[in-house]
Amino acid sequence: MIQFHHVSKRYEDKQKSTIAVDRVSLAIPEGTIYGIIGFSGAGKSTLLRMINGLEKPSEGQVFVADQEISQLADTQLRSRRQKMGMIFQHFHLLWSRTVRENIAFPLEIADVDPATLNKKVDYLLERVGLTEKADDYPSQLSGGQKQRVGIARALANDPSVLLCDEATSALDPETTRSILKLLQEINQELGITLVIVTHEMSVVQSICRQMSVMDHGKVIEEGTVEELFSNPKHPITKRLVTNELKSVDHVEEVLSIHLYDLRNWNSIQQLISRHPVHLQILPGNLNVHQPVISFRVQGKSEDITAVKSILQSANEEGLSC
Amino acid sequence: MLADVDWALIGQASLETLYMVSISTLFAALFGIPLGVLLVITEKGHLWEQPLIQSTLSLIVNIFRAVPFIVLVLFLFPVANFILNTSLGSTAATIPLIAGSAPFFARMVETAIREIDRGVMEAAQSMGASHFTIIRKVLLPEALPSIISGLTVTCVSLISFSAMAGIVGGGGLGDAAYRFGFQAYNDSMLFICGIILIILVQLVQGIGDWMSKHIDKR
Repeated sequence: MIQFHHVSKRYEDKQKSTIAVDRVSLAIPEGTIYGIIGFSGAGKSTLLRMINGLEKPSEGQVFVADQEISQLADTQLRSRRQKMGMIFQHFHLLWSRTVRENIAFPLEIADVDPATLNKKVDYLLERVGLTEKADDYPSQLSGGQKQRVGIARALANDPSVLLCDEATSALDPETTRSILKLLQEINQELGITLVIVTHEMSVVQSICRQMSVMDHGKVIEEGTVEELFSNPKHPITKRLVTNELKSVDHVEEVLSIHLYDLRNWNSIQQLISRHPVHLQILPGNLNVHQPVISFRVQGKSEDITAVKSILQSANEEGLSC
Repeated sequence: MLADVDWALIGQASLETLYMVSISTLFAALFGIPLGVLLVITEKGHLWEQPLIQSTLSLIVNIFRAVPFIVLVLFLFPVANFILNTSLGSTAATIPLIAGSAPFFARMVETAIREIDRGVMEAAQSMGASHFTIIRKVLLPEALPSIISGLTVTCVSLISFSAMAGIVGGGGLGDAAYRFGFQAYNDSMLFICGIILIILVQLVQGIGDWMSKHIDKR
């Protein structure tokens, strides 16, 4: 059980103080998959980071399994963190280490003996389907594979909680689905509590059981996913839900552009802005050997076709230069 | 023309240069790496926020970098005397060489570490890593290719600085070129010393580049 009691987080600056989390009280039951959703800047990541003490609350208390995280001394906090895995939007792998060594890192931190460590890493590699990539470096992996390494690494010390900070936001829809499936399996097999922070309603909808919606640091609505989807009360929740529902007649496609053409980005963007589409860069697909940037484009199919032709003509112009 | 070259002298001078440069590169690394790490981790919002230590270290580093090397040599006479009981010779010359290059290298280490994505450090923190583990297993390995490039640059500049070691009787190729080449109107001596220095720099740069590239897995 993870509990927030009247938790606030303020950032004091010279002139002003900004409030990132505003008197939040929440209870996340053990073994569930819990979604925290909101637009960017809503304070959801800050809230998540208070669970493993990366951020300390300015007021209030955070409990994980009846232990007050915000009161732990440094050494206690460090050993407590070993039992809480975390995965990130941009993976944060060590590029100087191979896949195997990356997964071994948390075990080294926990002073696990070499024999147990190797066995554990082999098991984790197999669990996330990367046995063949064990000796590759992160730079040789795709975005989805990198996140699998991130997940294996987060599971290394048998955590009771897995914190996911926008874990699929840098991935394309296909990869997102496979990562979400993996997370769901992990929850079912190991009974780990998953806390998922995201701005994508589809993520919450597909795997979460309970959720809360955040806006301006406050939790504005919470409940089961079915409840909130069928009967959203707060305007923000309605917006999030209807956006998602509207996207039923919306199409989603992944387009890409050669890095070289980015120098014309201003004019390209101007052209694209005439069409009401939602455009998101997918940094997870960046690859040294293939200098292209991929976008997720959401919108009506005719608009997407238009955007596609804009990017295409940019590519051709780029070639003629 | 090459008949005018005193090869025994050249050999001796080459050994002196190698000796001074390798000792001072070693110590520049020994002092520069911890200093560079401290400069990063003591700054605001980093692992070990210590504004006072940060600004003091930064000031000391800047002072050493601001003083011209030739003046540093003169200033550090007493220091060399205190540590080594002599202020003359190749070994004594390494003292100002280290003092001049360690702060320079520390700044390079600082930059190299600063380039690391903060998220990687945070990931290590989320796994429960101690500050020391983060420095040893995240910051230094991740910055290693840049640190090696920095050490290469430092070593090359040490080769050129070591030419000034002649003042304290440190000898070396630079000193030989000046005294037995330039002042003795022996152009071939001057020429040969120059060539050897160029080869030395090429060699150091080549090895450094290769090592840095070899371990860079980005």
